[in-house]
Amino acid sequence: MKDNFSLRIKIAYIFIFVFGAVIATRLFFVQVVHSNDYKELASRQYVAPSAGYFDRGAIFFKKKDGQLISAATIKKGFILAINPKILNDAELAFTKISAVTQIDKDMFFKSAAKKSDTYEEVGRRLSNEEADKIKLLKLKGVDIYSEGWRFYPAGSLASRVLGFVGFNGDKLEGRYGLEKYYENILGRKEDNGGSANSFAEIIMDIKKTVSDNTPNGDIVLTIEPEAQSFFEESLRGVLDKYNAEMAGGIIIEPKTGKILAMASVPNFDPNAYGGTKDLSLFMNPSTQNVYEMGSIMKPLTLAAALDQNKITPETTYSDKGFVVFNNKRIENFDGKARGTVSMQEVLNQSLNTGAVFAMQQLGKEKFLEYIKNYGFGEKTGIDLPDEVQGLISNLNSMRDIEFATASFGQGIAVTPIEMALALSALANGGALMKPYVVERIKSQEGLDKNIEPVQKRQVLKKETSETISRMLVNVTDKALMGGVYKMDHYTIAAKTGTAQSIKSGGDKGYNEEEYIHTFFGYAPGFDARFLTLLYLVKPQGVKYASHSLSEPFMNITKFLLNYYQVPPDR
Amino acid sequence: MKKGKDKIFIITVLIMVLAGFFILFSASMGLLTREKADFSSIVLKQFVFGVGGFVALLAASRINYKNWQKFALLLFLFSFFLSLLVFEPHVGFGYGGAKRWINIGPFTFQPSELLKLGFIAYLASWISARKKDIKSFKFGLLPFLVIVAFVGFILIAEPDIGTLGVIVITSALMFFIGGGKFTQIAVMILLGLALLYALVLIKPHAMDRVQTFLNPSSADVQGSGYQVKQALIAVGSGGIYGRGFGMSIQKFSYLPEPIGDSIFAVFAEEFGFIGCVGLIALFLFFLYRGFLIILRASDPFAKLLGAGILMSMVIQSFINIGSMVGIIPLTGVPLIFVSQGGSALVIALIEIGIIINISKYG
Repeated sequence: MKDNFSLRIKIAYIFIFVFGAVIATRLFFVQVVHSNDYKELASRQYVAPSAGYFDRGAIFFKKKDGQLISAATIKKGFILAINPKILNDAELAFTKISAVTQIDKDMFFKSAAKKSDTYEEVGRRLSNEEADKIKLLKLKGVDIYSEGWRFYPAGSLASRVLGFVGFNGDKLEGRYGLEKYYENILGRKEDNGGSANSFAEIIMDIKKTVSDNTPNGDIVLTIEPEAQSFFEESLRGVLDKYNAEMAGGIIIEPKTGKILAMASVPNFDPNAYGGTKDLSLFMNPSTQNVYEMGSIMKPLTLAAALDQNKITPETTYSDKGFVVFNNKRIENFDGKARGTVSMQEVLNQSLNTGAVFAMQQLGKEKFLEYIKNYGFGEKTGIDLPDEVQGLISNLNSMRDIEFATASFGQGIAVTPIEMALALSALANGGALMKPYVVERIKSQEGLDKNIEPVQKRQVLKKETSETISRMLVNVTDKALMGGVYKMDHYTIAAKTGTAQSIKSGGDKGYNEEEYIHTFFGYAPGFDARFLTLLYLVKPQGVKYASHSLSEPFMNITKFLLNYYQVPPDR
Repeated sequence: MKKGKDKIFIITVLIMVLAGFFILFSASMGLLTREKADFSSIVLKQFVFGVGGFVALLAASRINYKNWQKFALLLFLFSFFLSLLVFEPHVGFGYGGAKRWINIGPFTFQPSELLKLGFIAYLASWISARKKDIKSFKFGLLPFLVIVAFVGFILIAEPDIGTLGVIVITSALMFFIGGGKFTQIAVMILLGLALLYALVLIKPHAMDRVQTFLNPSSADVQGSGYQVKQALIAVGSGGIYGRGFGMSIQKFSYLPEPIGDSIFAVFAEEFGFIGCVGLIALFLFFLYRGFLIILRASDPFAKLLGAGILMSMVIQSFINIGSMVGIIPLTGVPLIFVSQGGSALVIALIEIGIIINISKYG
């Protein structure tokens, strides 16, 4: 009997042992043979649905009345995917799905034919209704997953400032513009996304939440959408009219450094940035390119000489039509001599010889000091990514010719944003401000942060600012296209510039036929609300900026005066 | 042969309990990211139950196992009564579509855990008392089936098909060990299959799971198929070596019940094929050492009681694991020593205490 018992218990043991062995065999297939399939399923599970949780801080334009207009937001939709392994009747599935939403037929059948695959995306960004309808079809092997993506409601508006969100490797993040600069504010950590978790990481996360000083937030721009929109339309008009390579510009509040509009055209649609062939369109030339700005430099040269009491508007010099330095001849734009002329006329007629005279009165050392004080050769610190600084190193040689050409805006190349800030000092009483594009960070966790204007330094005396403004108003009233743009009730300070563009390829020298037109102006002339800087690269069939940019500048300025309801000042 | 405590058996149990605790510790991390997660209280609770369980183990190891024979019927009826209480709305407590718990003061208790022990004890005493009659139909198989059916009804009503499976398989094996004929066993297997079929037809809950089991891809992936699919993803993505202790990803988001019935999937993801085979081997070694103890016992009741306890524990664990790897329909029985759950842990340790007590006698 006892033997019988031990035999039977052995049989029972074998029974359970076999049970365990069956499980182990199954485990072998799941964990060893097919492990990669499951790993792929797992990682897809962590990656694909995480797109559904895609989240990112919003970006807002701010209208003049304080109303926030969405510039960048999150849109939700659905991914349509098939599982070719279990999708039996691809023909039927296609017919039924096509009745609901448009899908690419070739791609669909190509995907459906990959019988060994378990996941093939056949449609993206489906609407809620479409997704519901497809779910109701209850097609075997057809799946719907939610997804979210960055959406820019205003399309291409301010795209070269906003940038976009794209893949950097396998990470979705801000790639250009504000999206890049404010990545740490706008970006949201995927909760337990694809990365492996460990105790250590969890502890780190907890620690990070406690000590994180860059909270999740939204950002509010200084950019005014109506102004930006009007500005871009104007620029596009000029671009098309003169068949130019690029038209760009900045509208800035001189007293604060707030950027009200910043644009360059052509631009791109950040909702479909993939279709943009020319990657340079993603850059912002106002902060990332340098140009020889030409005669808009002259008011800065004269203001420096005025500031040191070396000249007055009435100071005269003898214009021979040219000057010679280091065996190089510098001429006026028309090469003509004008005899005895005043400093006011130097601006009115844009005389190169006069700018050189003013610089000489000031002296090279002082001139260089002012150039640096104006912020040239120094990053403005604007809150946009990858800003470059102006190239003024040729002045370090202290050669007369370099200083002579620099006095009227050639030989030194600066960024438009540097120039806009230096010119703002003429308009705002002589202060060099720090420019900014974001005026408020709306925090999700804590207090909102308002960005206040920052004055970097005082460049000019207040009186100098008034004097140069008076001279520039005189330019508009008397000289610009013969004074046709004079406004009876508003004073407008302005100056044009035309520079030959640097030969591409880096050789020193200029292209005879290729020009950069520049224009700046501010209004009202003695209490400037906005300063507009325009630049037009390689326009065709027009020689002077006064011809190409005066009208767009005046249209923009009139729009701004009207839109902001600025009271007349004369 | 020297009679006495089997140290290797005790050490094996200690290893299992400790391993179970660490697996639970890691798996419950997954709850940190979920709603109402209370990681520390879960771990602490399990620890307290573990300590309490060892006290109960020591107590049980000092109670002469013969008492279980004396009180077998009483214990069985008591546990049966408790099991009926889950249907009583004041103390009964349902969760996840099944009524399996009762409230006792601040605790919830799963009476089917006790029912298993009560039933095994009663069956051991019943079979050992009918040594000669067991081979007959009228006095052996028929009454045996009636007793099993008695318990079966209540477990089907809860429903707790997993526990029923454990009880049916264990009792069939006990019947066989106790001297049942091979033909009787064959009849039992056929009858069992027929019953299972009937059960599946009348219980939508069970039907669902069987369908999921037979055809995983057709099943509603958000419904009953979901847990199986997610468990398989966890198990499969563990690979040969696993992601490493604490590194399971599935436990954080997709896997339902990571500290309960699905805990094996978390373990498999973290420790891989090697760890899984190791765990199965540990259970088989545990069974082996346990069987050595009961082989030394002379009392038929002790043999049957011990065999029933040991087999039920291992079978239950294998049913749990089997459902996680998709070879058995998902039922929802805990993994012994590992899954979170106070009643299961305490009763399992009491059962170990009984085995230890048996080892003291010859």
